Amino acid sequence: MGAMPDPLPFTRRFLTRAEVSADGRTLHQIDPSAWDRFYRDRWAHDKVVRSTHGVNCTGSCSWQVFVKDGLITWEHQATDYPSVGPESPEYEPRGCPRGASFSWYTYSPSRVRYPYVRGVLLDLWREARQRLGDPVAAWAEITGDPGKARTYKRARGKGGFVRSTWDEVTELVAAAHVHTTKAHGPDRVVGFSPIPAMSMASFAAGTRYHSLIGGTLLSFYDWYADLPVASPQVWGDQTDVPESADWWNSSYLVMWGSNIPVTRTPDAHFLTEARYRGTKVVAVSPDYADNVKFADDWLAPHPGTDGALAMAMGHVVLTEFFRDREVPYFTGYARRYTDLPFLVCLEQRGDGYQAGKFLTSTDLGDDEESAAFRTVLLDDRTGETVVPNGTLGHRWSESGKGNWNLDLGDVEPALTLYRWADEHVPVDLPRFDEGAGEGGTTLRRGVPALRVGGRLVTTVFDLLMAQYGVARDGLPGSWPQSYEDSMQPCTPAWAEEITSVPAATTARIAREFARNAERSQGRSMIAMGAGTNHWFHSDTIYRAFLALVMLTGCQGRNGGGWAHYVGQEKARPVTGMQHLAFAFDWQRPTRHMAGTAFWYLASDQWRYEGFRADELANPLGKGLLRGKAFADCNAQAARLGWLPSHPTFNRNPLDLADEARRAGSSVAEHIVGELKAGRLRFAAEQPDDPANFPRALTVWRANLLGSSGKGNEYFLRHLLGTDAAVRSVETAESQRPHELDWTEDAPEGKLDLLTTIDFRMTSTALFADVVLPAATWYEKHDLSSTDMHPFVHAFNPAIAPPWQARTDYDTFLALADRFSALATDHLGTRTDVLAVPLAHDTPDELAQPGGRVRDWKHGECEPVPGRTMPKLVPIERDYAAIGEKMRAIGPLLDTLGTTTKGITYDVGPELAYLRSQNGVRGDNRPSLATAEHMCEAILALSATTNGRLAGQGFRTLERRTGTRLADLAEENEGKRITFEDTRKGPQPVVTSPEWSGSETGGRRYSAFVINVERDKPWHTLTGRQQFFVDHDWMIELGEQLPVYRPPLNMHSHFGDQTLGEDGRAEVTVRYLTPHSKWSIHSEYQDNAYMLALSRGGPTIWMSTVDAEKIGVADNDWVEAYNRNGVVAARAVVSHRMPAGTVFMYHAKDRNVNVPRTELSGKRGGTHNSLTRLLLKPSHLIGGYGQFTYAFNYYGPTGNQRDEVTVIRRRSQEVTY
Amino acid sequence: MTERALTLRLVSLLLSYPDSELLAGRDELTEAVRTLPDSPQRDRLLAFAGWFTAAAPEELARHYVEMFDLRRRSSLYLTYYLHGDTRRRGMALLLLKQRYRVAGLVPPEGELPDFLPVVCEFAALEGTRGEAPLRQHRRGIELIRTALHDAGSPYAAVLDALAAALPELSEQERAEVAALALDGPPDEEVGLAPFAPPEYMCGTESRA
Repeated sequence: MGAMPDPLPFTRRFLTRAEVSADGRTLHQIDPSAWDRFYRDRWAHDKVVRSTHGVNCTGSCSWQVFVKDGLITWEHQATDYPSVGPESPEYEPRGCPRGASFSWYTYSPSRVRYPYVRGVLLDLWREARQRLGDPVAAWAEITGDPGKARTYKRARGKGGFVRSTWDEVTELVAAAHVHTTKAHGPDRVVGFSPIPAMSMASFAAGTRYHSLIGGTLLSFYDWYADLPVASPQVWGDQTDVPESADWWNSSYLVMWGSNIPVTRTPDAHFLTEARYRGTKVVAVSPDYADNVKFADDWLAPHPGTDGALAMAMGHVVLTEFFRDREVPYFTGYARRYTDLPFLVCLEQRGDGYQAGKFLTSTDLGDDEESAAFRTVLLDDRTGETVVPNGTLGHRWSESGKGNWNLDLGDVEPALTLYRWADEHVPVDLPRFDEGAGEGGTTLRRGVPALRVGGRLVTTVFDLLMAQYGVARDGLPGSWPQSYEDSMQPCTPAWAEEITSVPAATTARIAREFARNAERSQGRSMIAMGAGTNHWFHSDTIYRAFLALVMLTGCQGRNGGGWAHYVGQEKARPVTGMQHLAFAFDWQRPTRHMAGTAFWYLASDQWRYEGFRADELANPLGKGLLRGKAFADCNAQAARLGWLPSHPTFNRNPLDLADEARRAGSSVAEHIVGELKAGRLRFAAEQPDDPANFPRALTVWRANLLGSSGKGNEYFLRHLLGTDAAVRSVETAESQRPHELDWTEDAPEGKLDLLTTIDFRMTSTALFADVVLPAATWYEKHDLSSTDMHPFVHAFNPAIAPPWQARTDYDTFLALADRFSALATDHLGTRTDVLAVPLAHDTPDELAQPGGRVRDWKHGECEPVPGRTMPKLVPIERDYAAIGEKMRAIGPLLDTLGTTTKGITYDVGPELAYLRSQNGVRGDNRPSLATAEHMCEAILALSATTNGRLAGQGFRTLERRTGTRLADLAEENEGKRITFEDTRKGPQPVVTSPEWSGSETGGRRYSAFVINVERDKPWHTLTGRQQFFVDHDWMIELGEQLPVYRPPLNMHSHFGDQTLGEDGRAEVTVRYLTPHSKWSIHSEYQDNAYMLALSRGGPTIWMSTVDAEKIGVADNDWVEAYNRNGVVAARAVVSHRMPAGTVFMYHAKDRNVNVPRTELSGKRGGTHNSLTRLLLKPSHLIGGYGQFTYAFNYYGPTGNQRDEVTVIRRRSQEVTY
Repeated sequence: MTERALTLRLVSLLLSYPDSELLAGRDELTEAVRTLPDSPQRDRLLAFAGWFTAAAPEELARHYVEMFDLRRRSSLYLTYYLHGDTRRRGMALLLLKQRYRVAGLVPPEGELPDFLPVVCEFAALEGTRGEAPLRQHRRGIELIRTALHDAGSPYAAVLDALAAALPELSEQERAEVAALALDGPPDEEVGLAPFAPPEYMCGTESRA
């Protein structure tokens, strides 16, 4: 071959000659043994960078990432956690096999490396963009043309991506957001990103952007069904739990539906250590789960019947530790820290009674401020009624200042009226184990009662004794004779019939649990998990659990109480995170939305109901839910100000403000007038009107369609408008909602733009219109914290984002800039109006006394914003300034400070600090121009990481409680954790009023320690932990007290779902989707290590019994189907599984080994193809006490465990 | 520039993303292919150039992304085939980078050193010595080639040309390629070996 010149015109090269430096020198390696050096140095790293694993894992483990020549070559668990002190095991090291295999995502071929747009859309875009010159007009034209829109929407999920450039794609997304804001309303621009704790700056970047433009932000904790709704119901607190090191302090630990070695791997060693110390460990799990083999006792109730087991345990505790023998520790605790002594009005019902509302000062003729929120008890010494300190009335009134505490003075609350009773009366109580439908029936028992102020009352304790069936002499009604009486709720024998757990075992475990608590003063713990929390009626299951830890005085004690480990999201520096993430420094509030309610309407799952909300009502109800579909309940919750509802109205809120201005009235007046006149409707009543569609959705740090999207096939059909395998028929006409407009042809493809920002090609990315390449967890600055340990620590970039990847922070800054540029002409400055639900931890809690439902739409009251309907808050938005506002802390913090859980902080010194630390922008505003600035600001503005604020917060709180609290933070008043500190290693946080536990003096964190030790009230109506709740809808559902409700009977609602073709063997089984040990949600499932360790690809675990019924051998291909969809998988046949139940592990993404199904002929099906949403009406309640809204605090759960599926063997020839 | 270097340079360019610069140079690329002497390489590259010149830009982009960006099976990152997603991969990437440096070249910032077009460019620049990585990753190249043929991709022709320029696979290498295609890239089994006193170990032998 001869020499020839390079004939190619390309100048580009990947490899360039090393440059000679300006001074003429250059570095040459002339050592002929150069290669030796490479081998000699191969374990010498250029740098070691500390980071952690991002959004989807609760471990928050610190890792060291080893970098050589700009390449990540190795990662290792950090071992330098601060010591937890003597006589306790240490945190270090923390990690698990999943985290240890993370770094290979960095260079994996599956990584998203460039911005992608589906070709068919990009062609349309480039053409229109070129022709029209205006990007916003181009987007308007494409989405306004039904033919074009259908073309690119039908192509979703079918490949066809091409690379774009950041510049082009940012303009496209920004134009879509500007057009949507202008034409449909900013609330039609929607953002979804979960779990801020596990990368706060990345979360905040997108939520800040959406908040500034007025977009809708979807909640996730309730949507994931990880929110334990019982926690706000009982405690007025979202979730607060012990750190894992506190397990060591427990002497009796029940793992109830929580598979600790699998799902809390880095913490599991504390369980081992506790066992060595002598802690008794009990596992409650229907299958032989990994944690079971570590337990001393294994109870295996049928799935979903945990509530019955817990009720029976409560029966034993109340019988042996309250009735037969008084335990001073328990009764003392109950009197002071629970609502058990409070008086409840009894209402006549036929020839008996039923429980009504709490007795309040108002009932006693008192007309002082907030009297309706001052609950009453009886003093056991005098027999007089007393309003003790610490009620909700004390929290939000002038006269309550200094009296919002649990100090009882000389008062000794009467737990029971047994000795004071005027009469013993029969009460009707709900039961759900019997009865024609979901609503169950009633049974009659008796309570001692007293007439007070013309009302017949009893105590919560007396009602509880009746509810649990603990007989006392002389009380009327039907009572169990003994533990062996299986006919009467809630005996151990009754529970055995339901759960299969032997009655004697139940009684023994309950006795041990309580006896241990008695001897150890509250060191019995229940670690509960998704196994018990993902059911439709999980709130009732949990209330039965919480009753156990409250009756035994375990809550607020180190080593005791509940330990809810499901989707931890404790962003310890919560105040700074929230105020900056939601741009409260520029405007308040933001459009927080309850995720489940949003998706229920957006994906049109409401059109496929088999039964209505009134099916759930107990006969004790007054008929408030009669005739209501679930969507009707949601519409009512929206207009009464209970739950947020975005998109809000069937009109652009920007236009509403303009109309008001033209009409010369305030925005609120205008809207109320329009609503009353019926000209304006809530969008929740017309979810299928194109005016109300959510139009643009951005998903970052999340895999909506591969992980959490319950009702996957409905999402695909209605939201995205592409192929789907929905097999269900729509709701029969007679069962349809009354308050919603029903369109004959359900819309398909509501969404104009789905943008996904990720480093993996997840199921969500596969269906997105635009995929943006994200930096991984080793390529950015960020912050991480968790419930599981008491530290905050940092993410650090080991390398710059490779290829064209960008950090979420930079992505949203660029988007904000482009949005601002396009908005200058298209939007300018506009007034937006937000409909804001009645908010938790604010005086809004007083809006609807007694939780009585009064509906302005039905003429039961006037529509009064902030009382009988949502508040209406106008916000002026300078749409051209979004980019600059992203980058600077706004002026509202100077004037309003920050507020978390009702405590307001003056942050003047912190702003001054941030000016010097971060630098300033514009009008002397502290900079947020980089993720590092954001992290610094989050830490500076939060009391957990800034001792000055912790001290200030406690002093503010002291003025309300009148008790001593500030000493809790004294030792740390001078402490400030900076971002630099967190980059060096995990930093222990400061005791702060943002949370309820105490780390003071180096103790382990446990929830509600401050409440118990410092007499600080819970954020509830009574200020105590509540066994009893009295909102109208809770009465309706028969859930005033803990009660057992079985899993939903899907068969009766949706009929037999088997196909029964040609006599093919099929079996209908309960379908559960727990977490596996080989993944964190969908992450790692595509990783070679985890694929090798597990069977890889979609699998369904089934019992040998069920497998035999349908002729399936291990590893055979099977198909699972029901009305929601179909999925193909290999069978894992195992003795581990109980008969009648199958598992398909959570978040099997559709990108590994997913074949076409026989039934649909289509590829795909995920674990969520078989699930769907069901709204529980009690999750929609608001406007009253602890039943008020806060983001991720209250709202309907996206539960999925009550589902059943049909399984059959399929052809073993699969195609892809 | 030798003909061999030109061939490798052409392979490097043709396997790059068909962006506007590459598309604008399609005629020159075809012309350059024509200058090659008669050989299997020339035939295969010409076959590809025909399709490449005639196809619509959108179609080229879609096809490239489908073949090389979103599929592991024909990904152009060579160390993946040798080491899979194991910890050895970082070291292998590093080795390549160091090799480029020793040759007085600056490795690319925006691309991994094992990206096939980079490796081909290195070979084109450095001659025989620069072809070492290609020879070392011969099996990976063969896997990509096979995967592209299976997918019916015109890019298979480019890999044919590259393979033709490299030494033929031995019988043993062919067997290894077949095994790799069947089992996927290697994984690591650190810590998976059972450990216990010998009397408890019967029946736990690895099935390797």
